[in-house]
Amino acid sequence: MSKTIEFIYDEKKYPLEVIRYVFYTLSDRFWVIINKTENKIKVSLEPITENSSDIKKIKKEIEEEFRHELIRQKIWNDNKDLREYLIQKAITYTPPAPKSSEDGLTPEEEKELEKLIKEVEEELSKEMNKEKKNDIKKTWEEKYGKK
Amino acid sequence: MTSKKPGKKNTAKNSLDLINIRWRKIKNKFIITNDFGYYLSLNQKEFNDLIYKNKVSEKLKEELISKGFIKTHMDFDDLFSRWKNSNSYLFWGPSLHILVTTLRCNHKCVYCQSQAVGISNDKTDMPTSIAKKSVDIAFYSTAPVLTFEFQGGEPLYNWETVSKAIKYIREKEKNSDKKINISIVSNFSVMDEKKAKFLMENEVSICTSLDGPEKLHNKNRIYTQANSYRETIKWLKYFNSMHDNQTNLSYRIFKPSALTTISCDSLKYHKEIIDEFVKNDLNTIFLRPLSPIGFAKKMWNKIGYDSKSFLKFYKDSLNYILSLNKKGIDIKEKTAIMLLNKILNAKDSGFVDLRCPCGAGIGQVAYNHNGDIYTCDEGRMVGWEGEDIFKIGTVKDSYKKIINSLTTRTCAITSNLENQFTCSRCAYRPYCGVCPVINYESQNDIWGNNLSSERCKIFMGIFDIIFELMEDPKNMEIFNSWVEDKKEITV
Repeated sequence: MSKTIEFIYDEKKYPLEVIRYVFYTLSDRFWVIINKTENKIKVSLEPITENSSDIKKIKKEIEEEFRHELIRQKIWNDNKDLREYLIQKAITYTPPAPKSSEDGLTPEEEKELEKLIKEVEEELSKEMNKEKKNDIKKTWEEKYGKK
Repeated sequence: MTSKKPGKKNTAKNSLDLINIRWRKIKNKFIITNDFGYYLSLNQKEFNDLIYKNKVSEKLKEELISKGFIKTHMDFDDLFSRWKNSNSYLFWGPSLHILVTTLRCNHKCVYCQSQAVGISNDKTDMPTSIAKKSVDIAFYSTAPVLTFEFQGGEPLYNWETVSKAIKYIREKEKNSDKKINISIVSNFSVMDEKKAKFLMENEVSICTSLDGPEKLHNKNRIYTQANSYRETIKWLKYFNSMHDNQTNLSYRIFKPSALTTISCDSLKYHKEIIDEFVKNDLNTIFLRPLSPIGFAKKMWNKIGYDSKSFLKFYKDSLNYILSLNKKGIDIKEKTAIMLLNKILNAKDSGFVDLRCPCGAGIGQVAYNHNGDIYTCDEGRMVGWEGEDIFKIGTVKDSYKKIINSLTTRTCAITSNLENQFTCSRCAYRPYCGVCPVINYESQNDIWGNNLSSERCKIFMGIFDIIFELMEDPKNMEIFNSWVEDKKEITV
């Protein structure tokens, strides 16, 4: 096969960028020439070697590539700014240090400390209760002395 | 997006807000990836629903959200730390420093890339002063971990420089906060107990070449003075035994490792090659394809092969390795480990060839015997052939000048995958890399054309094989065990 194959596209339907990407995928087998006229884009394919695939197969391949590239382009355009923002943020990202209290304690240490305080408070409370119980038995004078 | 039918609630409309994704079809599955290196494997229906209908099942939606594919539900801490982890090499200077201490070698390997010369030609021996200056430059690197690799020719032929450079590195290490790794690549033919003891005492990791069973090894690695295979095995056993029996030492003895270069003669013997590694107590095998550089480029018609042949070999090999693992035999493949680390753990394995941009000058530096400095060892080989386009300076230059050289910057620009037509759209973009030197050697263009690049076809094929194997939970279990809590692999 040594014939040149030509395709003409409406630029409104197929943006130039999409056409460029689609036909780049054939550039290992064809010389690709893209010409732009008013609203029309003409693509000429010239086989690099004699034994390139048949036209039917190539047309199918191009159709499939267009289907993917159009949607890829849409997703790409929708996300261009967001992508740049995310990568910029990722480059400057510093992982958050484990949260610590004013005393410089990690959440785990704080939890442990709270547990200890609770245990001590419970012990104290028990002791206080004991003392309170004993208090009841005491007279006014025993507790506060004589007036 | 589907049109709204009267009287029915349109669940598809704006139900998903996809971030930028890339995809690739492997048989009946689609692999989709994002910039953070997360991937998902979808069947045809799921893929069509996602891409064309913008509507998926709740289960898949949850998976897409958890992996950062939906822009309205992003866990920034997870995504940013994952990105930073997998691209950690961008934040410091070159970590791999290759010292070509001599080009003298007694082997005439059929695929030799290093432009070795005869053993009497000591003009290619690196003087100790140049080795020390190379080490000084390396220590200027901002990398927290430096790996010094002594190469040749056969580096042991220039033992004086090698041993003095090792001592000098260890001395400098004492006044530095860097972690230092030292390795030597030797064919063991001139190894002796004294040298071995010195290397072990200085915690030098030993790497050799083992191409398979005796017949195949000796066919690839021609050595007329003795039997290359037997020399290799003798010293592998020695270092293995020293490693296994180390007790109460003030230094660590590393397990020796071996590289395998696959020539066209190797392609028929995947089982025999792997069995040879298992037999010699080597638990990692690195199945490397030939690169069309140096002597191998000239001999390509006799020893080369196409990507299709290598990929068949690689697939058979990996399947065989997995079958051995299922029997409880501990053997892993290094390329797979490096790629799996990237895919599963978002971890850079230190393989400078598969980075974006590639490691040329910014991840690795090669110091030639005469003091010339190159982007990498491959770039040095191109220089030896007469085209010094990958030279980035000499040991007389400052670190700043070398890193900022036009060549270093050109390599970084051309190997940035965002600038590569096909790579920027490829599903494997988060895990892959291109090599300007191989592009130049094989296509006369540092940008290269990946559509016709055999290197691209090989890596694309290896990724396909790994993703396909990952579909099987039993394989996945083995793959996970290969990359769990493993130390960084430096190649």
